[in-house]
Amino acid sequence: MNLDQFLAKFTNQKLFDKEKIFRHGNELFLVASQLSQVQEKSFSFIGKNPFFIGEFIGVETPHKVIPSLSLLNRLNKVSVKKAVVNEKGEWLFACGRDLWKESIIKLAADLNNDDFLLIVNELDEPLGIGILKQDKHCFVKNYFDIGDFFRREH
Amino acid sequence: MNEFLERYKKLGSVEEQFEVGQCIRVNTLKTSHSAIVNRLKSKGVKLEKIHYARDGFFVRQTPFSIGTSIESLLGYFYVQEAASQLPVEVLAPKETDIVLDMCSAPGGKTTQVSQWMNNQGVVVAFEKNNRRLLAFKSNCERLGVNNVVAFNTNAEKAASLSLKFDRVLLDAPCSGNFIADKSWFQKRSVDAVKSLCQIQKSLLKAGISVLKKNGVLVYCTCSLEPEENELLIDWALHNLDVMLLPTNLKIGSEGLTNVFGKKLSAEVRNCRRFWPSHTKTQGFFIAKLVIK
Repeated sequence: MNLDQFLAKFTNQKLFDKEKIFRHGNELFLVASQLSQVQEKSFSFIGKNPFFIGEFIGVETPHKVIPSLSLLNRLNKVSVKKAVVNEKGEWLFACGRDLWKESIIKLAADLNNDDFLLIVNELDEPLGIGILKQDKHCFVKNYFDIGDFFRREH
Repeated sequence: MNEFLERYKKLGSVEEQFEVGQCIRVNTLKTSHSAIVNRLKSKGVKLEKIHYARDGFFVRQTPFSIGTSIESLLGYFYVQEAASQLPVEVLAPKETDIVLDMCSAPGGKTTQVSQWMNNQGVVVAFEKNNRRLLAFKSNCERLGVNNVVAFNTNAEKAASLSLKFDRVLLDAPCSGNFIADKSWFQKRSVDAVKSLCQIQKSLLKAGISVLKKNGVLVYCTCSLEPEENELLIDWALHNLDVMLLPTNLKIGSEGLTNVFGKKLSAEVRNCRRFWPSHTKTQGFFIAKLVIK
């Protein structure tokens, strides 16, 4: 899955200017012009690209796009494909768990199995991405959650 | 008595080990002081304002690990010791500035610089240690920083850039202190401390070389050893075209001007030294330098 395919699962709106995307390995960054100038100048002296620049958008691999917190926020502003979870669900989801129906307070209409959806708490803050899986084991499968910040460093 | 404690006594302070309380810095790029105080209060967390740090709060009581809370994951605050919040306050970067952060990982001060700049201007960050890049990236992402360009290289290379900076932050690699690390006394020797000084000198020299005429460089360490602090700054006053300005901090004591019998420039008083027994923080040192 590439970034375009991932974004299309949530919205048809243009979220940012793709010309301003800088790729470092499989990491994507949105770079404002004043940073590009510094980057270009620095590259000629340091001889290497930055490992972090501007707004981190996420990681794009052939199999999966892992959105940044910033991208989740951008999607949350425009997408209606979301599920609102209660406090217990918020914590379990951020711990990497799938969601049961009991944790979901509100769910967008017209969703089908395997649809991607944003998971938000009752304050409309993004907690991650889920995939609708209405079966006897779970209701929303955890695709990515913000607890990753903690897990990736430990 | 331990050789370091003996040195501290000779320098005028009787020190002993104790545990400093946890502190956070509220990330005003994403929330406000009152919003986070009230939100955490409803979950049983008691915060108390740190009177000498603009966005700092002591965590007086918490029923859970605050660093792994949803609010932390959403980037509303950063767990940061009180004294280490102060170098950026002394640097006071502005929205229009181009700032150099010379030894930037794990990104606590870098993200604080961005916060002071309201995500405007440019922060150029250097970090030499590969193993610390993940934490840096994670923190910049979580705290919503988007004005940083960061390179995995030695900060001494800053001298080869064709850029000049309004502000330079040099949070120099140092020997640390016994408050931040309980086994510090067992790990360190005075000789090892002295060996770090050459690196600190080179970095300071590089930082000064890219500073604009009216720019400000803040040098800091979390060390109590005068070789890494007052003696180094005294060397800079004699060998680089710089002078010291007062930090105007409301905490800490004047820099030492007599170190084991060696008299230093009177200007060194303008530095700020954080004796843990006085400030109830970790050991720390801050100097504010400008070009003459």
